[in-house]
Amino acid sequence: MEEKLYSSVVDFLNDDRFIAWRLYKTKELNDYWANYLAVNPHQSDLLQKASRRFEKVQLNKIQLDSVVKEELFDNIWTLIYAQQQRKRKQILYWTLVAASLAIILISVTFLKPYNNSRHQFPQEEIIGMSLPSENVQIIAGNNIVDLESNSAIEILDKGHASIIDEENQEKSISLAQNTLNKLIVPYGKRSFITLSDGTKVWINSGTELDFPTNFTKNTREIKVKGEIYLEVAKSDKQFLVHTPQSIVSVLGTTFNISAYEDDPTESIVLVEGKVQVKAGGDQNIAVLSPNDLAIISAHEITKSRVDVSPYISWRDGFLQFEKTSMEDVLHKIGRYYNISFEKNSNVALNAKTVSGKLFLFNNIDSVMTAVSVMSSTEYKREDNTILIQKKQ
Amino acid sequence: MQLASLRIRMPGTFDHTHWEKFLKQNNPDSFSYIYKKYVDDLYAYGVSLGFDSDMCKDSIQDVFYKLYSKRTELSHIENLRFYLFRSLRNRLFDLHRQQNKLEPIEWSLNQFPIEVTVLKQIEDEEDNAFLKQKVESLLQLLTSRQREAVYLRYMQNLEYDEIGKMLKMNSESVRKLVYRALEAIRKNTPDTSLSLLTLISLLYS
Repeated sequence: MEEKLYSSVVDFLNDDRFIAWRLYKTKELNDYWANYLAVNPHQSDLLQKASRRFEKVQLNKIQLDSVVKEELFDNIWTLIYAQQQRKRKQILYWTLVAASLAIILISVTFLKPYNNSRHQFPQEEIIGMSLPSENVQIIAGNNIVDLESNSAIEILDKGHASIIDEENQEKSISLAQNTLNKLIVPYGKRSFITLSDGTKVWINSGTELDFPTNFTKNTREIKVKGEIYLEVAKSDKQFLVHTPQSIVSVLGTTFNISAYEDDPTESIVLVEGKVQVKAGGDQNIAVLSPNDLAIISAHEITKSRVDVSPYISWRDGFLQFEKTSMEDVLHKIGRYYNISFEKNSNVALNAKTVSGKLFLFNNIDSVMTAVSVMSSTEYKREDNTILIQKKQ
Repeated sequence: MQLASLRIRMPGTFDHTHWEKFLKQNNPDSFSYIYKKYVDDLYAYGVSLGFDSDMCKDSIQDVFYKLYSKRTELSHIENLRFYLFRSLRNRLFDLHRQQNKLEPIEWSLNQFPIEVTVLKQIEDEEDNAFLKQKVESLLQLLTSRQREAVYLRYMQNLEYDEIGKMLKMNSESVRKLVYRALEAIRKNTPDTSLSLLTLISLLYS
């Protein structure tokens, strides 16, 4: 049988059978070309090149402009939130009436104007500035490695870590042998790491985590400033988490620690198992059972029973609010998106409450749209300035 | 067989985990991933069906809103692409029916043109133009319904029974429709002497 010979990529691209195959990968055509390769293995390079070239041929690749795409997505979320709010409103209507009455009574607002000429009610707005973004970094000895946000890091044997980013791209880095490694997750970013003992750590925005490459000592110890959610792998070795104010010790369990330096208090919420919290000296010790919340303030521990879900929902990509003040909501959002909202307790809007689930999209506009629907405000963004105003 | 090295696009497992995460945890990044992944294809499909841009955008919005609100009832969906394409098609024709009560749909719409674009490369412009023309001429051999079926089958990887549900035909008729389309292309391509049997015998000789 005579075989056609192709001497260049263009020869393939001129071939109807090749085109038909790239268009419609029927079994018959697949078989034909598999066979062609089996007979002409030396042409595999050429064929691959031609195939790659053909990928540039696109059928009905009518695309939406990326701005239009984002607008459309925001519209979808506005619909979703509006419907969610309608549902909530039926239940919460009277509560909200009472709450807003209270707000009106409490808040008297005389504030520094932001820009009188442009805005009708300058005293009724909250201003936020988005800050330049920084990278997630691992510092391992003298090595500083920049990572994508939402990368998953896994500590492997032999002092290496594998890093998989959102696009599923993997890379490997070597870790420090004798010192602790430091993972820095700046505001606006999140990360996830599996330590050498199999313990899983979800790391929230604005957090620094110190961890060893291997747990060679009698106890497993890490240090944290910020917020992490931990699933500690079971082992005979005790696991200790050092925060600026406390030490949490466990054997194997699941819990959330929030220990931001700009928060006056630290909090620990236990999901599963048992942990011991020590703050300051040996006299301040509390043992937590599931659904216990420990608040640490000035080395004092206060324990209470809570529903853990609002404390850990950030791990699943949303924040849960229940009549949370606008100020707290914006403080949290600021952490995720690296925006500094002006703190001014005299702004009436800061006292508005927000209830419901807020999804942490990559896009700040989707999030601010949601906040404004949830709080019946309006927001505007001009480059890196965010203005939240009363609905006009 | 070295066919695997040719990067035949498979339905991604990554996609599947996002769908699971969206259903079970209501994960917003997954919802956003799903939206980003399908929005262009859906839009292109709507425009190909002959609807204007605004109508396509409105329908896409409705489809995703419904996907979100009804997610608790959607765990049975095996092929998300099929679900989205079918929802979009139905939504577009519903809207069209509401707006044009008197006009018969099949006449006013549904030309299903397939537009070929060759992404710019450093390489020869002339080659690209030639390639574009070649692909277009092969597609011109098909009827509009054949083009839609072939587009859904081979460009969007839908199954015959799925396409049947969308075009309101049984899967056997879709199979025939696609077969006849490929026959038309085959007739136009030279060197058809190789049958499947000879291929197999070549492989194992």
